[in-house]
Amino acid sequence: MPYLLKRVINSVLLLLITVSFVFFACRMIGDPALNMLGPGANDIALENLRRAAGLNDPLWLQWVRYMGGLLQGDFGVSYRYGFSVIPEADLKDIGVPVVDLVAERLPATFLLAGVAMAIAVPLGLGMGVIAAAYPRHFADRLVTVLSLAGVSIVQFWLGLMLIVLFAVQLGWLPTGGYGEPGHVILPALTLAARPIGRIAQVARSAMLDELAKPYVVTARAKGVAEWRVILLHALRNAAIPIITMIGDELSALLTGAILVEKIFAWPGIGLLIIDSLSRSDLPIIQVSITVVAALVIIVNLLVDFAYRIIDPQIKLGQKA
Amino acid sequence: MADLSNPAIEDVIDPKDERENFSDYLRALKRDKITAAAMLFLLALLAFTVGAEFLAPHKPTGLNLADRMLPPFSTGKKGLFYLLGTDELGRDLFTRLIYGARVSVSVGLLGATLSCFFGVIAGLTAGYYGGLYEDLVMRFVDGMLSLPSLLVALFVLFILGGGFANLILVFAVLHWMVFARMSRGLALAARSKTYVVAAKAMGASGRRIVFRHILPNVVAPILVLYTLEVAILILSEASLSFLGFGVQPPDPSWGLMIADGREHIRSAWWLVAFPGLAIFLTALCLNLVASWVRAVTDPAQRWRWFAIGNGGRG
Repeated sequence: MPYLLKRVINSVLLLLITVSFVFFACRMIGDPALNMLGPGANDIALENLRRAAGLNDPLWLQWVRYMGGLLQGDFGVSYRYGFSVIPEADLKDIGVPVVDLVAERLPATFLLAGVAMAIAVPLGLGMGVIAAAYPRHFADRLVTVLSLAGVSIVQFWLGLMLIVLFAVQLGWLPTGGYGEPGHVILPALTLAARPIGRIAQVARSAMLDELAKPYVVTARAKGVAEWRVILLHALRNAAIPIITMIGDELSALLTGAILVEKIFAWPGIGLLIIDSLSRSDLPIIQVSITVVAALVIIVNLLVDFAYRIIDPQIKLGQKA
Repeated sequence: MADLSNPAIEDVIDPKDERENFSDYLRALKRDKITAAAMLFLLALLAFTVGAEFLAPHKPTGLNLADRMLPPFSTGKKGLFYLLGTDELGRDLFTRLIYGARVSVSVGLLGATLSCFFGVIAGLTAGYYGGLYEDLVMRFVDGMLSLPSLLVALFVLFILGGGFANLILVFAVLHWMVFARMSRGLALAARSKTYVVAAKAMGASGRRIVFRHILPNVVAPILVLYTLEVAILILSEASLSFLGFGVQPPDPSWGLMIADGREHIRSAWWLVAFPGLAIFLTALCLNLVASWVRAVTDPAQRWRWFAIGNGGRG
């Protein structure tokens, strides 16, 4: 337990540092009131906002207030959300609570990441296991080449190429959007390419290591069917590096989704980040980046916990 | 003190061994056709990057509105041949790709070199000296590594503004930890080796042991990681430039070319296809060379896990 507790404390600390870094960095790039109301805002409105939001207070006090707000679920408001370009003079009278905007986007990102992983895990695992079961065979070579290709490809470019082929040329699937089952296919395939490659690589090498071990020889000598040796004996022991890679890829997926969501106009949190960055909508930027960083940190933590469950013998904390 | 001109030592380190090693590598390369092709591709890429002015068939900014949007393998109005077609301003795509390579490849090489330099120094010293210093360095490294690097890069570039120099700076700051974690492991393993103990017994300073004794012995795994990192940085550069936070428009880069071509994706697929293909082939060849170097320099592949664990963060 001490190790896990230490990991949790470390993660919370890391999150705290990240949130503060994002907060202070956002303050570095200019007057937050001007940013929130846009370049056309008049002086009275700016001064009112500064007074109302406490922007005249010392920075550390604002930081304390911001962190306190986050803890209470108050993520600030955005005055610019919904404008396609930076607003000239008129603004929404009432800001949109950022927490609603982010919460509204999360299901789409989770759906996309979930479908991509549902494609990538069985496919990558299957490819890796087949390659390891038939070393130096044609299938092994094919898997090696495909997994290298999956790792080397530019994700967003693959997405664009899939659009050209399946949406523009063949017209089978929509170029982008959200809501119908057909919409998720192309973005999920795009996102899955890299994890397929990496999972296949790791599964292959972990399985090769396991299949060379004495217990496999024993099992085979006892006359255990080859598929049982591979799936029930070796795969179980090869699970740890594979799980690590799946966890790594899941957190990479959450950030990789930024580009894929942009390409396919998929209304997830990645698209929200890109849109807010191009609008310089600081309240949303702060929160959405914090949320994604938090998700990644949580996934990393869960992977560490998963070790324990898979292999109770593992001694965490002795990484050296 | 440590007397390298001693004839007895010269007998042990026979320079002929090095030469034989090199030809061994060449022979191994001759047998592995795919890796040889990958190396040739990378060498050609490097040649194009250095000699773009001499090797490019057209001028990179040569507007030619009569020859707009020509598909690959077409001949323009004045009989000019365009291998990969032209863009919306009639500029030759192949020429633009060559100039784009200059930016993309140098971002990858410079970013990886800087991160390698700082990461290896931090990692080797942390692994060798240990103690509180190691604890602090490694805790920082672990923390940074568990953050999503593409997202952090995106945010920092939003704050600082994009551009070639900022991009390299951000890459160096966000990627040195990969090298640090690996070289720390290598130094830790080397610390108890006989050659280190011997050097210590001869009174060599810590700095001398780390950089003159340990470093030359761990070059191979670091080289593999370096190659993989160049590939990762080229991919990241493309993503960031595509989003508008990387290299800025007057400079051509492969990621920017994809972003530009995206507007014409329905009518001129080649504007998007070829820059992406260039990135893909470059990354693929770097990956192939890396796994070849890994296999050749250490048949036991005992440190393979380092590279696998660190190769994939995007």
